[in-house]
Order: sequence, then structure tokens, then C-alpha cells
Amino acid sequence: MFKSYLLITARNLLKHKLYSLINILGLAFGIASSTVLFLLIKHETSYDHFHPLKNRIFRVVETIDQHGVGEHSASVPFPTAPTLQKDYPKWVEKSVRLFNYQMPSLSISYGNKTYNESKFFFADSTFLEVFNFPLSEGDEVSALSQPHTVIISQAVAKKYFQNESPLGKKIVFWNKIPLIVTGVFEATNKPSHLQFDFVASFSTLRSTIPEAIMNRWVWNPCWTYVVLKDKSFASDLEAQLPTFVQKYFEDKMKDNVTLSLQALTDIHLKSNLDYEISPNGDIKYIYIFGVTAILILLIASINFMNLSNARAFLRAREVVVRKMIGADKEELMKQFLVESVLMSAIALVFAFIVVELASPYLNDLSDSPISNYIKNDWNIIKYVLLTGLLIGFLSGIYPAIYLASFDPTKIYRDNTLLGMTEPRFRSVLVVVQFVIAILMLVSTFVSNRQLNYMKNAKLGFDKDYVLIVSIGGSSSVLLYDDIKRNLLQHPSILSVTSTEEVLGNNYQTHEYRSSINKAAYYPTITVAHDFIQTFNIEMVAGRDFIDKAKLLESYQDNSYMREEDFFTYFEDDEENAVIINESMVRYLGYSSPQEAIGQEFRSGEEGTEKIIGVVKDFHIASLHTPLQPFVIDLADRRTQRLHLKYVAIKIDKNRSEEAIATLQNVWKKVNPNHALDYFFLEDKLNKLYMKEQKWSEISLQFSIAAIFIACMGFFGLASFIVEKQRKDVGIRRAIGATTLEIVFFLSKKLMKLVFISILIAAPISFILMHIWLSSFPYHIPLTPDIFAYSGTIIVFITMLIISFHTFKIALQTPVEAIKSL
Amino acid sequence: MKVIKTVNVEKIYTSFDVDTVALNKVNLEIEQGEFVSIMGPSGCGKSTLLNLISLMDLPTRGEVFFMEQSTSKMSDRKRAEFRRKYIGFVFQNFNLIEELSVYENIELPLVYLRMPPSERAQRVRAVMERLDVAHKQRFFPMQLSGGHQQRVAVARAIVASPLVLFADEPTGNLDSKHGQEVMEILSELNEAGTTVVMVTHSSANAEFANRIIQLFDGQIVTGKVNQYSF
Repeated sequence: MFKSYLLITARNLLKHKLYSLINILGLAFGIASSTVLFLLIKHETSYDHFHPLKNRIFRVVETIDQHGVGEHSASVPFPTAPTLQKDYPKWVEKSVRLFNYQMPSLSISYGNKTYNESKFFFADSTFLEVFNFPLSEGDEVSALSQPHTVIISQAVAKKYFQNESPLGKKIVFWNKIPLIVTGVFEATNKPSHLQFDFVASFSTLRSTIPEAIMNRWVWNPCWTYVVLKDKSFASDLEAQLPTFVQKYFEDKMKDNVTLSLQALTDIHLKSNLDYEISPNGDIKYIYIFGVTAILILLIASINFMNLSNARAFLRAREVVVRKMIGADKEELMKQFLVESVLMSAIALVFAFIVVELASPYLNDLSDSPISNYIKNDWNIIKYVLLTGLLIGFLSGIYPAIYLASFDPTKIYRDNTLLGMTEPRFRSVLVVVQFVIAILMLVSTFVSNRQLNYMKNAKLGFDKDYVLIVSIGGSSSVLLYDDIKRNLLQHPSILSVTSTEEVLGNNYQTHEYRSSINKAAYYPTITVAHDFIQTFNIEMVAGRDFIDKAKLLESYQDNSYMREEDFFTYFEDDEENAVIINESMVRYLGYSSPQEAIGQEFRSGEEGTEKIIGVVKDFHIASLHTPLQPFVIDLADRRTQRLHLKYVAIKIDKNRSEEAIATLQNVWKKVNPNHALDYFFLEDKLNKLYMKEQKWSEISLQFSIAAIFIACMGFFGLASFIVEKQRKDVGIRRAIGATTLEIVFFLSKKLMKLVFISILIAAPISFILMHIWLSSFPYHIPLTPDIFAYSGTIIVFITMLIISFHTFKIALQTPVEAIKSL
Repeated sequence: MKVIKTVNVEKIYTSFDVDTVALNKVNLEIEQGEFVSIMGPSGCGKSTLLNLISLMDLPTRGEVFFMEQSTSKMSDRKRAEFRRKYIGFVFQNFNLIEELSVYENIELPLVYLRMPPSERAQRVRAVMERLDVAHKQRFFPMQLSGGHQQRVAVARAIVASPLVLFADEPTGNLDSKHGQEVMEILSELNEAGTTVVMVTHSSANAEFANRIIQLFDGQIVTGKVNQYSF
């Protein structure tokens, strides 16, 4: 019998090649698309799951909050880890800290080559005990136990030492601190939020950072992880953290500080704090990916079921004959089920091929070789197989049960099917498919618009044609003045300044005391002169910082004389001036920007700053966070090295190539021993929206897949419905209907389904998009044109499909039409 | 043995609250080995009666006995079993399965009877020879003429050696020559012992039978039957 079923299936497939192809490919694409999405989900949810202690590892994080202003930091002060371990030995088994001076990169030299390395960290000797990063060379027990030791990655080993063994080699940090290579990490592609090329021993820092700073509870630069003796102790420890803060943090801040624990495996998807080691994902998109995968699978399954059922009903006569010959219900059910499952098995083969072909794209999308999951993870393969076979089974069930129970006497007499009406639920399924496809189309438009909005939004400062050069973490920062002076000699360079963080990307918080508030930590941008000018920021009150050195120079030749200079040039803006934004004016309680000018705003206990200017609000971080109060502070010569990490260079947009060449030449001249790292500010800021970019790409790709699958199904169904109406067409042609009247008659029913889909999808998609957009502080409005475009695309595609079928029949001559009766 | 017996059988179709009486208290007996022809004008209930006595349908009222067993309380499975073992059916429009070859169409009833392959092959070959379609065994129905298709249909109907062969207008779609051939085959089968019950419009075909039952408006009007309600 089974052989007979196989035979019938094969012959049916070949007899109806087009529909078989549509059916199989539709299901194949659906399974492939949802598999790809599930692979992405698997990748994103597997971060840091490979550590044996993963359930007991928690990161300690810090929130500084003064009435909504402050920071949510992924890193905490130096002493936090050892003190937790000392105070709570019954809960805390061990801990490890990572530290990188909060610099974008650190200079490392070997021989006569110097590199800026961005993935350099100092770590406690417990690093390899806490985390599972095996070494291919070196001893895991002792590799970080001594000062001036470092473990490197395979990529770095190859970069610095080519084919030589790196063990025992000496590299130099910051041009003066030697580090001996004591180990090489095994290459791995296991996803982790910890991205590193160098892990140096924490004890090395004793020679570079004064103990006083390492014992302070203010600066919070250490990513700190604790291993608890049992994961259940997390709540116990967390309950003690307020007491811990009160005991150790400085009085001026302890009431505004909260420490909390974050599970290691939650970091990648649920963290998104300030100063993350590497960009995080977002759990929200995992849910969206999951729902998208299910919806696409649903469309494909509906498709498959609908087309299978449609074809099955055309075989009702065969079923009747079989019944008459003596087939019982069970045999008929088995036959249809086997046929359906066989077709889905073929679809599975195609699905695997599609996934394999999509692998390179998958790897790009996830920045990781996740295509390996398909080949190496038996669970994935099992899931795909089971899904496909289940869909085949469920698709076959309905026609199997319906036809097997069918009363054969109704139709066996006639050559054509008598009284076989389209089951209503098939129309319902088509509507469901199109609702899903329209939802996805709308989400594609919305996500794309939102992404473009965020990328192109006015941030309140110039981000175009601004080059950013990394100087932090090396002696390059000491050459800033030379670099600036040399650059400004060239006409392609319009302005040069320096900042602590990349403007619009990140900021720090520093302590200030205002006349109306006691000490508080505010978002701060520490800058060098010409910051306002370089970024074209609008001042609404007061003045910009004045460069005393330039002023004094100008006095030499009397080329610059202003009244206020007599009053201000004796003051030093580095010591005595800050600029705030409009939101800070409101936060401090001033009625106007003018009222804030001249008010006290001291940095720390000994500061002497006053507010000299107010700028219009601009975004100091991504558009994921709302505008907030902040301070612009001028770095003084003394702390310049610590605070200034980037040079920002405004270039002439018409001479950008010349400007880059100028930068390269100046750098070679002034700072030949250090590699030049630069990027365009706009590119950096666009990367803030990588998640949205990814989602937008995925949404587009899978919308296309969903529409393709839905339309394939619609194509097959339209053909079936139109074919069923052939008799009607013949009669109408015979009595004089025109081609257009026939087309309209045939199209009516199908287009009705499409319009119903649009009417249902519109409010649902509006609500869903509204919810998604509400998660952004700044977002596009949901305008009717988005829904109009989506509906129009669907209507256009479906009309094309319907036209293909209807015109074919409508153009028959009356004789041909009658003959086909 | 009375192969088929109906007692006061009625069949009423209801559509949009309108009752249509297709058969009205029909009493019929068919002995084993008979060749019975059921005739009557269009819409008189011939096919309805055929459906009931071939266990394809259930009466609204009354009883149908097959091989002296009451069929009204039989499960659908049991009825299918009876059809498999004891009944062959020949249709006006052949009703061959298009995806199966001639050989496979004829073999199908034996497959449903779970007959071993070797025995199936033997029987199918014998029947193909008898109906002179062996040379077409690899052909598919759409490749055959009407006459050949009906031969294949007859072959399929008799391959399982049924007790009763039901034929519904078996020559309706054939020309006179092929129609004659089919009738002769049915006649031969009957002579060999198969009970044949045939619905026909054609008086010429009806003459092959040894009893003619006339139906009119759902009732038997003539024939060698016991008419309790006539």
C-alpha cells in the first residue's frame, strides 16, 4: 500500500507541476525563513552560556540617580570586588575585575611597531577561573598571577609574532610598561559579551595607578563579576548592597548610588547600560524575531494546507471511486496523510538547501558564523524536520478526514464535480495569510522610516564631515596642541577640538556642586577649546570658552580687543568656567538661561567654576535616551591626559579627501610612532542604531519572504477558484459577456478577500507599531501613507496574479468556453 | 440465496425544507445468479435504488438485506468490507483513476483486499486477458478509447470475483459497437455465475437481462417482484 501511495504522490506531483512547485517551494521558503530567524535567536540567546559557572556569575552594576539625572553604569569602583568578597564570604566565592582606563584604545608596541588596541583589558588573576576561555598555549593557573603578564588572542599572536611562539615575548604598554606574554587564548566563536584580544594581569596596575585612586569609591571604571556559592544567594547579597553602599561610598554621593547584581547570561540582551564592554542586543528584538518566525511559518503552513486541500478536493471523484471499490475511511485518510507528509518532506530538502545558500548572509547579519549551528546542532535539524513533517501531517488531516467521510453518492454520476463549494475556512486562511503579510510590510516601512529618522535626525550639533581621531590611552594626547596647530594650517581643516567621549555616542558623569544643590553627579562632556565652534552648537545665553593663550597672543599684535576681555582675560576658563544646557537650567530651577549665567557650579569640593554660557539642548547620547541636563567642562592642562581621548576635526565638505590626506601627513609628522585611528563621526553615530538597522534589514528580507509565500499561495488558490468557475465563464461567454465583465466576475471574490485582509491588518498593525515606536523617546509619527503604501503593494501584486489567471480564461472564444463545459 | 432484498425501502432527500421522495416503499428481491435490469424515465429513482442496494447509501426508512444480512445497522467499515469482498461496480463514465495505469486500476480492489502481490498479479493478468486489455496494461486512462476504458472498468469490477456486479448505464458513453461488446461481457459474467444488476435507459441492453424492473416515480411498477404496496 505504501508503495502505491508513493506512486500516486509522485504522479500527482508530476501531473500538476506548477502547483506542486508552488506548494513545495512555498513551504520550503517558509521553513527556511523561520529556521534562519530561529538560528538568529539561538545565537543571540546563547551569549555567555558556555561558562560552566554561568548560573552563579553576576555582574555588579551601579546607578547614580539624582532625580532622574545621573548614570546607569555597567562598571563600578575599584574596591567593590575585593570588598564584597571580604564582607560576604558566605555568599561570594570569588570575583574578577576588568579594567581598560575607560579608553577607546591603548597603545601597544612590539619592536618598532605600535598599535592602538581597542580590546585590551587588565583582569584579576581569577579571570580564567571565573570564565571559560581555555588557553592553547600557557598555563591557566599561573598566566595572570604575576604583574606584567598578559595573555593574547590567536589573532594578536599572528599579528605581532607571525609564526613564532609568543610565550615569553615582551610587548610594551603605553610605551613604557613591559608585559610578558604568558598565554594564548584558544580561538573560539562562542558568543560572549566579553570581547578581548589582550588580558593583562591586574597586579600590573600597581605600577601605574596610585593606591589612593584604587581605594576610592568614586571613579567607577571596573567591570566587576562575582561568583556566588549558589545562585540563590543573589537575592541575599543584593539585599545587603544598600548597606554596603552606605558603609563604603563617599558621603556626598552614597544617597544617590544603588548597586545591583546582573546575571551574566542576561547581560547581552537585557543590559544596555552605560559603558558596556561591547554593544548589547535587545531582548525586544528576540521576541519580535520569534513572532516573525512563527508568523512566516504560519503563512507557509496555511499556504501548504490551502493548496493541498484545494488539490485534494479536485480528487474527490477518485476518492469516491476508491470507496466504491472498497477502500475504507482509514485507508483513504492514510493515503492523503502520506501524500501530504511526502510533499512536506520534499519541501524540507529544499528548505535545507535554501538555508545553506543563505548561510553567508546569515553570518553577515549576525557578525558571527552561526551557519555552523545548522550543521553541528542536531537539535536545530530535529526541529526543522519535525516542523516540516508536522505541517505535512496537519495539512493532510483535513482533506483526509473530510474526503474520507464524504458521501460519495453526491457526485459520482457526473464528469464534473457537483455541488463542491469552496470551504469557507479556506478563504479565512487566505485572509489570515494576507493579514500577516501586510503586518510585516507595515513593520518594514515603519522600522525603515524610524531608522532613517534616527540616523538623520537633527542632533543639535554638526555631525557631518567631522573626523574623529583616537588619542586616548597613548602619549598622543600630549601632542594634541601640536596636532591642532599643524592641522589648522591647511584650508581643508575648518576647526579642531578635543573631547572626552565621542559626541553623541557617550558621556561621563562628574561631580558638581551648584548654588542650589549639594554635590551631585551630572552627565558631563569634557572638552578642549573650540568645541562649540567645531560642532556648531547654538548658544542661547552667555559666551563660549575663551582660550587665554590665544587671547594673550592676540594682545601681542593688538588684533583682538573686546571690552569684556578686560574683565575676563585674567580669568582662566579651564579653572573657572562651565557651560550648561537648557535642560540643566530647568533642572537647577532657574527661570531662564540668563538667570543661570554667573551662578556657581563647582567641580568637586575645591572647584571654582561658574556658569558662563548656556547652549541649546542637543543630544549627547543616542536617540534611545531622552534629552537630559548636562555640563560642558573645559579640560585643564593638568587633567587633559586623563580626560581628552578624541580629537574632533571639522573639515571642508568639498575637500574631504584633501582633509584626510592632511590629517595623515600631520600625524606622520607630529606623531610618527603611533598608528592613526580615525573615523567619520556620522558613521560612528549610525552604529548606535545597529539593532534597529539589523531589525530593519531582517524585517525587509522576511517581509519579502512572507509576501512571496502568501502570493504563491494566492496564485495557486486563484488558479483553483478560477478553474472551478470555468463552467460559469463558458455560460456567460455564450450569452454575450465581454472579456472585462468576465475578468471582473472572476476577480470579485478574490479581491474581496484581499480588501478584507487590508481592513483587518490596518488597525492591528497600527497598534503594534504604536507600541514599538513608543519604546523610543524620539520616533516618527504613524501616518496613513504607510498603510496606504502597504495596502497598495498587496493589491497590486494580487491583481497581477488574478489577471494572469482570469484573462487566460476570459479571452477564450464562446465556442472554446462551451466546449470546456 | 436472496442476494439482495429490500423491505419497504424509502429514500427522501431534503433540500431547503423541501422533501423529495426518491424511493417510495420499494420491495425488491434478487436471487443469486440473476441478471436484473432496472429501467425507468429520468428521475424515477433508478440510481438511488442502485446506491442503496450496492451499500453506497442508507435508506431513510425500510431495510436492505445483502446476503440475507441486514445492512441498516452496519458500520461504515463493515459496509466497505462488503463492497470490497462481494461487490463490483461499473459506471457510466468509467471512473478510472487517472494517475494509475490500466494494470494498477484493475489491481486496486485486490490491494484493498490485502491480497499478496503474487496472487494479485496472477488475477490481474487473468482478467486483463479475459477482457482483452493486457496489451494496454501500461497505458493510462486518458490514452484509451471509451471502449477500452469501459473494458478496464469492467475488469476492475470483476477482478475480485464479486458476488454481485452493479452497472450504472455501462454503455451510456459508448458507441453501439463497444456498447454491444460490454453487454456481451456482462452476459458472459452472468452465465458464469455473477449476479448482475444493471441500470439502463436502453431497451436493447435491457434485453440481456432475465428480469426487467420498471421504476416510475420512486416505485416499482412492473417486474418479477413482490409488490406489497403497489
